[in-house]
Parts: sequence; structure tokens; C-alpha cells
Amino acid sequence: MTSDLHKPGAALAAGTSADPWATPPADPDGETYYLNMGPQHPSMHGVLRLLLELRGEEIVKCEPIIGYAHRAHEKMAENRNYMMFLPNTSRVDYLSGMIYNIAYCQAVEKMLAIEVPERAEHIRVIVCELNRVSSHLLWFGTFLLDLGGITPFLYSFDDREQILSILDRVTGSRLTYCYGRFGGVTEDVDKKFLDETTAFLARLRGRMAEYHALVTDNVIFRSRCEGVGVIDRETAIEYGVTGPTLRAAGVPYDVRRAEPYGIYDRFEFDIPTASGADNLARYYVRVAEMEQSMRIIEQAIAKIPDGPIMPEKALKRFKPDVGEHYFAVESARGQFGIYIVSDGSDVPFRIKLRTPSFSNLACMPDVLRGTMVADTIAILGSIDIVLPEVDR
Amino acid sequence: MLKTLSDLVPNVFLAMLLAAAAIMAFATVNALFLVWLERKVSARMQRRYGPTVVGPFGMFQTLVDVVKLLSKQLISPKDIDKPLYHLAPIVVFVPVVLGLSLFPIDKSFALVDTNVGLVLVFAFAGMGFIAIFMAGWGSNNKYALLGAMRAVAQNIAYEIPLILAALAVTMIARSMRIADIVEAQGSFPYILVQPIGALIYYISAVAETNRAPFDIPEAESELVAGFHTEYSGMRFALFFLAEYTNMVIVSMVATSLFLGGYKGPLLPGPVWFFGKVYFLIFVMLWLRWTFPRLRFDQLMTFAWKVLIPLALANLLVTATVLKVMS
Amino acid sequence: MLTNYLPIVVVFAVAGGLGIALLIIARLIGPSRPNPTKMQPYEAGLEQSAPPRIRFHAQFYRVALLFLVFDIEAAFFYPWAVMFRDLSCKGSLNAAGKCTAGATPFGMLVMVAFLAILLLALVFVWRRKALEWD
Repeated sequence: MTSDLHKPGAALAAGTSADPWATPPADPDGETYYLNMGPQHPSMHGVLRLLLELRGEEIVKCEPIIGYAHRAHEKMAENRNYMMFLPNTSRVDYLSGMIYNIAYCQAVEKMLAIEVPERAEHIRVIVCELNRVSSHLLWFGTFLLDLGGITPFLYSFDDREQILSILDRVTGSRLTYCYGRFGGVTEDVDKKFLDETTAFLARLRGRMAEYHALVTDNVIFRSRCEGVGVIDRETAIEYGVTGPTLRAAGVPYDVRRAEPYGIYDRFEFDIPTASGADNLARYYVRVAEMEQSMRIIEQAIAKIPDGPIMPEKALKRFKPDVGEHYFAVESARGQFGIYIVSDGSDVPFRIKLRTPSFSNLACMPDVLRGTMVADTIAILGSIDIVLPEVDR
Repeated sequence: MLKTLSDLVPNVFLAMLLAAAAIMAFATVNALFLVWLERKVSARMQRRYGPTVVGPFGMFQTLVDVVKLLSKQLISPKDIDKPLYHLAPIVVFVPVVLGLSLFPIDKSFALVDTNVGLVLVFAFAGMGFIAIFMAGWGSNNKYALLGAMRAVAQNIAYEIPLILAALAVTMIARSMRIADIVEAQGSFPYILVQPIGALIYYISAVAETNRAPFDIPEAESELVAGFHTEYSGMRFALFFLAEYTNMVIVSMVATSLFLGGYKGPLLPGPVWFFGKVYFLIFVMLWLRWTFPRLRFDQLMTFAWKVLIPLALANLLVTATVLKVMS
Repeated sequence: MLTNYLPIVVVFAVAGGLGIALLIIARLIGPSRPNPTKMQPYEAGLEQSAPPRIRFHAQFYRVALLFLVFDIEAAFFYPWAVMFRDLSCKGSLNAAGKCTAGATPFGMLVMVAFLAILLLALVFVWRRKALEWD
């Protein structure tokens, strides 16, 4: 009976699919092109599906359809205790998993009012910022890949590899970290880690000059980016866009500065903004952010004290009081919020994850209208979405 | 006098068959070599090694790939336009082989020698677009059709500056026979008298071969694989073969028109000829692995508003200078 | 003279034959296990939402028309380009390509007139924004 399912339209006829374009809308002049871009498409950054309505090469209408990578992380949280949800967090956004993992720890710490030792706080800052740099490096490569430049992708992955190796040594994983614990981190870092990180920063600074020569000043790159995909201030704020995409529209909003968490208030760093609100502005903001992250890491390495990495009495099982808690951090893509509702048991009643990519993606129908097909990919690439994070 | 193969071998028919076999062998070996070269060059530019396992420096990797492609299933999607879909790989492959046969590789040797060689090369190159459109239309695939429309629009737009740039050379050389053009270049190549023409030609040639930064018809980040999305196995291999052979042809034209063909001191003619050709191909690889891709409208605008007026102006200036000089 | 082109015909036949032969070999040694899913045209992992073969956007036809004009123009240019220096000379050229008799503006004028009309056309379509891709 499997052959029935292979028959085109079988699933639709059985009513198992709610595809809005199972029957395309009537087309008055017969010149409109209906195109599914994604979910299985080389540059969809995961499994996003875009329903495109084209006239020639121009997009008349665009509708993002999500849910192809839904793994029910929020539901899982309701079925396991607080500690058991830890490994899930870094899988929500696999590109800045460390930030998410630590953010969840910090949320629970805020709920339980746990003090984190100084050394652990510094380690958290270093690994989170390293993770942010690695995420931006990956974005840099894939964005250029979307524009058709393949070589920068290999270069940036080479650099990213260094970060993954550094983090691998101390956390034991390369992508989906589970390094945070309520009250601290699992493993202490040694001198080798700090030396390697310092060496990497020096290396990346040198590489940045190369990137600028290869990409930033390239005429073709600029002509593909300047004035393309403008997400202006008003649109961005209306849709709840955060992160580099918002800052590229000239809004200097960064959770690390607006509502400092952890020990971010102790570091000196700038919030890079740009005014163009286009692809190029977003590019500039992200590249500048890497620089700022490097500054933060350097300060943290200089200041890191000796001492414990976990509180003396580590939490094993606990039952928080009834209540609701919200905690937000700045992930590589924007504001990542964790909303925990506790019913007094050791299992959360509800955990809601406010993921930045979801809001950033929401403005796409507005932004993509009237652009060319080639720009669709460039704009999608420039806002740096991670689909599993959208779907959760 | 220029010798062709039919002068060297007494039996005419045998000579032709030999020539045809030689060209086919060259086209195949060359494509295998170029794919390997491209992978090696791109790898080196990206701090990788590229193929290393099969043969010395991984040189036989592409040969193995061909065997793999030969043994793969030929998938024909449903609702295709059968004649167009099945013919396209052959229609794309034949003209490039024909184009290859027209170049003198040494002072006294060309496989086919006609007095309209240059026009024939462009004519054969033009047949390739028909095949591309056949593939796009026949595939019953939206990405393929979009890619084919882009490909045809791009190729015809860039064919005009290409031909106009070659015209200026024809004017100086007073012939369309490629061997004559090479001979007319005396001791200095035409790139010195036609620098703008050479530049226009080369840019258009890169666009004609659908190579980055003009690889819009098969822009993999947008259109998956463009017009050959639905082609697999050996059919895909024929498209691939044609693409790489096309690179050789446009480089051979550039070598003959602007770089003095087989001419050069000390070394024998074929060495110079192929040396120049592969240098131009290397530059193409270099461009591809350095630049991002242009957008379609930018590409079209560049052809119509920059290259074509520039090529026309170049033609007028050439005519005026020739007039004054004679 | 036409025998010059005979090799091209032979190459044509051999190349076509080889292309077909390769495809036949591939068919013979390759597996053939079609199934409906495999035969689906690719549309990013989904069923085709609408037939792909529809009327093209008019922009593409505009390019085709412009191409026709300019390509035919180029075709006209070729014989002229070859003969340009002969047309500019009252007598015949010597072996070195130098004019033996006096110069004549005929070769220049005839093409400048042709080119001027075409340039005018190019300026016209440019001004009418037919070269923009929107």
C-alpha cells in the first residue's frame, strides 16, 4: 500500500496535509509563477519553505512556512525535571548552543536565587563570547555562499574550527554543548585553554584583514548588498526583530547592555550599529560584533580569578516555589528569552522559549515583496536564521 | 601553406575519421583534466588538498567519477517533454566538439581550416543555448525553466559584445580565417593594439561559459542546479563535458585573436598555444573561486549598458585609426 | 571549396554518435529501478504546486528582440570588417596591406551610416528604459 502514498496528491486527497497551495490560486493572466523554495533547497539554512509568487524574476508574494524541524522542545520540558532539560537547550539553536545552555542555567539560577562563583561567571562569559564569534563566523561563510562566493566560506570555517576545538577540549562537545550547571559550569578551564583562546584571538584579528580584502571591499559583494533587503527601524520594531538585524537598522539595543545579566556590566564593549538597515549594514554589524566579542574575551581572560566553579552545595533535585520567571540573554541572533512557569513541583509546568530567529523571520513577507529571486536568498542569509530555532 | 590533417594522410575519409577521433579524445581528456585542475586549484585557494587518493595527485579521480556517472541510473522525471529532454545532452555536446576542431594549434597544422572559421566558432557556440533551453523546457521543472530563461537571456546578451570585440580584430587582420588572424599578428599580439577589445572579449567569454561570477543560470544557492537540475548520470556528464570544453573553446579564441595563438619564441607552437589557453582557463578558475555572484538584473544591465556601447565605440575607434593609418 | 567543410560533417557524426553511444552504455550498465517518488520533478522536496510551463514574463521577449537586432547587425558587420581596408582604398592593397592608390572614405561612411542608425536605436531603447530589468 506504500505505492499509494507515492502517488502525487494522495496525501492531500486523504486530508493529511494542509498545504495552502495544494491548488494554486487562480491566475488571471497566466504569467504568475508559483514556486516552492524549500524545504529541501541548497540554501534554505535548514528546512524553511517559502511559497513564492513570481512575475518574471520579481517576487509578488512570499509566504514562509515553518515547522519542518519541530522537535517539541517546549513540550519535552514539561515532562522532565529542570536538570534533565539542560541538554535540550543547546539543541534549540545548534549554532549558539553554549549561549542557550548558559542562559537556561542563568534563568533557573535567577528563579532559585543561586549565587554563581566568580570564576564560573568569567568562564561563562569567555565560552559564550567564543560561541558568538563562531556563530558569526559561520554566518559570514554561509552568507557569502548564498551570494555565490565559495572561498570565504572555507576560510571562515577554518577559523570556526579553531573555536570548536578549543571548546571541545573543555566541554567535551563541539556543537551541542551541555557545559552549564545550575550554579556554575561542569569543568574548570586550565591555562592551556586560556592560552589557546588568546592565540586564537590574535589569529582571528589577522584573518579579519584578509576577510576585508576578500569580501568587504569587493565590488560585486557591495552591489549585491547595498540597498538590498532594507528592514527599516519601524518594521523591525513592529515585528519584534532583535539582534544584529535590529542594530543594523540603527537601534542600539543589546540585552547585554540594556538589561545586563551575568557579569556583562563589568566589561567595556561597544554596541555596533549601522544606519543602512540593508544587507551591507547587517554585514558590518556582525563583523564589528566579532571584534567586540574578542574585546570582551580579552578582558575576561585578564580578570579571571582563581576559585571554585560551582557553589559549595550543588543542587541535585529541587522544587522551586510557585511562580513565573522570565530571563533574557543576547544570543548571536538576538534576544533569547526563557519564560518558566513553576507549579511547585520538580518539573516545570511550562517553559516558553522566545527565540530571536522566529521574530526575525516574521518580517520576511514584508521585506521580500518586490525583490528579485536572487535577493531572496541573500536577504534570508543576511538575517541569519537558524530553522531548528524557529521551529524549536 | 597551412596543412590540415587531410593533407597529411592520403586517404581522405580515413584522415577525417582520425581527426574526429583525435578531437573526441582531446575533448574528453581535456575535460577530465580541467575538472581535476579546477578541484586542485580551488582546493589550494581554500587551503585544502583536493583529490589525493586516486592516482598521482588524485589525477585519476575524475576518471573514476566518469565511471561512476556511467554506471548510474538515468532518471527521467515524469511529464517531461521527451524529445527535448533526451536530445538536449547530445545537442549541447556536439557543437562544442565541432568548435574544437577549428583551431590551428601550430603554424602548419589545423584539423579543419575554413575561411570563415571565426564565425563558425561563434555559430557553434550559439547552438549550445538551444540545448540549454531544450533542457530547461523539457525537464518539467520550475528551477530548470527559470535557469534556462536566465541562461538564454544572459548568453544572447553577452554574445553581442563578444562578436563585436572579435570584429575589431577581424578588421585589422582582414580575414575571418583563424589561421590568417594568427599569422597577421606578426611579432606582437593583438592584445597590445586591442586592449579594450581583449578585455570585453574575455569578460563576455566568461559570461558565455556560465562561469562565476556570471554563473547565474546554474546559481546553486538560488536555482539548485539551474537548467540541468533534472539530469543525472551520463546525461549530466555530457552537460559537464560541454561546459568544460566550452571554457577551452573561448580560451582558444582569445588565444588566437589576442595572444598570438601558437606564436612564441623558442618553444614549439603547440606548447605556446596550449600554454596560453590553459593560462586563460586558470584565470577563469581564479575568478570563480574569488568572486561572489552577480545578480541577474545587474548582469543584464552590465551587458547592455556597458559592454555593448563600449564594444561599438571600440569598433568605431579601430575603424578610424585604420583609416588614418592606411 | 565545400570539401573543406566535409571534416566538420564527419566530426559532427562522430560526436553525435559518441554522445548517443555513451547514453546507451549508461542505460545498459546502469540500474533501472524507477518508482513514482523518484520520477517526481524536483521542487524542493514537495509536489509540484503548479505546472512549470507557462507564459514567460514579457521581459524575456524584450531581450530576445534586442538581441535579434544587434546580432543581425553584427552579422552585417563581418563582411564589412574583413573588407574594410580594401573599401578604404581606391586601388588594391599590396601584400603588406598598405594602400597603393589614394584613400577613399567609402568604407568608413557606409558603415558609420549603418552604425549611426543602430546607435540611435540603442539610445532610444535606453531612454525608454527597455534595458532596465525590473
